[in-house]
Amino acid sequence: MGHVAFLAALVATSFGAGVVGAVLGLGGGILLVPLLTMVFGINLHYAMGASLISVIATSSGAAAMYLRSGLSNIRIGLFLAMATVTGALIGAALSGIVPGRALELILGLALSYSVVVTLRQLKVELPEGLPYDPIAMRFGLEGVYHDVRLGREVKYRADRVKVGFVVMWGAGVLSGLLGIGSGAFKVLALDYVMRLPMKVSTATSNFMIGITAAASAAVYFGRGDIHPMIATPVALGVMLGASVGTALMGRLRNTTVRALFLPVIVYLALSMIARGLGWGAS
Amino acid sequence: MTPVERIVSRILWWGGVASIALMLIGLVSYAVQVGIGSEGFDVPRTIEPREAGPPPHVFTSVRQVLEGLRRWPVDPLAVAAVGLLALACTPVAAVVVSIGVFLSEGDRRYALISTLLAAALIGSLLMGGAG
Repeated sequence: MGHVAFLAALVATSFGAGVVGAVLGLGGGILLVPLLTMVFGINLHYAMGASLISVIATSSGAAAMYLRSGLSNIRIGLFLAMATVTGALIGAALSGIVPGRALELILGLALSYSVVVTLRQLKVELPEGLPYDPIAMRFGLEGVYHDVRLGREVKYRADRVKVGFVVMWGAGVLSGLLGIGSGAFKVLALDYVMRLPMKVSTATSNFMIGITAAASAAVYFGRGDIHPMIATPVALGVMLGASVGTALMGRLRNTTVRALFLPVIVYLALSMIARGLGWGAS
Repeated sequence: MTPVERIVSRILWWGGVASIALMLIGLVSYAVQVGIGSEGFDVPRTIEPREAGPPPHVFTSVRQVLEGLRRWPVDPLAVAAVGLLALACTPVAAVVVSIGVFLSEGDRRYALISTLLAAALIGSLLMGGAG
C-alpha cells in the first residue's frame, strides 16, 4: 500500500470509529487498537497512543455537540470525573504491583453480569419517574433534554449516586491499571447504576472520557507512544466521524443505543475473560 | 444552554479543530519537505521499535518540541507535536475555564469540584512530562 493510500485508509477507519464512539460514549479504542494492529500492522504501542489521542478527539468533537443539545450533563460529568481521574492516577501507580490477570478475570465476570442486566433493560426507553437521591439533589445531578426522536422534553435525575461514584472510581482504577479504556464502564455506571436515560449516559460519558484520557496523555507522550504520522490521520478521522455520530445519535431511540451498546460489552467481557485466563495475545 | 455549557462546548470544539489543524500542517509540510514517497516518510510498521533505540519522528518531551520549533527551518514534526500536546490539553483547558464560569455564576460547589479536577489533571501532566 502506498503512503497516501495508507494514510487515507487510516482516516477512513478512524472516521468509522469516531461515529461509533460518539454514539456509544466510547473513545473508540476498543475498535481502533485491534484494527490498527491487525489490519494496518501498526505496532501495539503506537496503536495505543493513537487510541488515546482518538479518545480525546472523539470527546472534544462529540461533547462539544452534546453540550449544545443538552445530552451531555456537565455537572454529572465533572462530579464523576473526580472519581475516574483519581482512580486512574492510583491505578497507574499500582500497575505492576497488582496481579493484572486475576483482575481481568474478575472484570470479565462483572461485565458478563452487566450483559445480563442490559439484556433485561433492552426494552426500557426511559427510566420511570424522578428518583429522590439526596446527593443528586444537593449537587444538581439532574437535567432536561429535548428528545428529537420522542418529540418531547425529557427530565431526568441521577439515582444511587454513592454506588455510581464508587463504580466510576473502580472503573478509573482499572483503566489506569490495565491500560484499557473505561468508556464502556462509564456508560454502564451512568445507565444502569444511576438510571439516567441511555442517550444522556453515552453523551455524558463522551464528555468524561476526554478528561480521564488527558490524565494519562503525558505518560504516553513521554514514552514516545504517540506517533504523529499515525495520530494525525486518526485524530482527523475520529473528529469528523464524531460530528456525524452526534448528529445521528440525537435521532436514535434510547433502546436502539442500548441495543448497539450490547455487543460492545459482550466483546469486552469475553476478551477480559480470555486475557484473564491467559488465552489472548496480550 | 447555561453559560458554562456554552463556553466548555466552544473550548472543546475549537481546541480540537485548532490542534488537528496544527497536526495536519506539520505532517503535510513534513511530507513536502522529505518527499511523500521517500524513505523518510515511511509509516512505522515495525514490531518492536524500542529495541532499535528511540523511535524516529517522535518527540517525547516539551524541551525537544521547543528545540524543534527554535530551529530554522522549523521542524515540521515539532509543529505536529505542538498540535498533539494542544489536543491533550484541550479537556484540561475546558475544566480550568469552567472554574471561573462557575464562580461568576456563584456556584462555589462546582468551582471547587473543577478546581480539584484541574489540580489532579495538571499534576499528572507535569509528572508525566518530567519523566
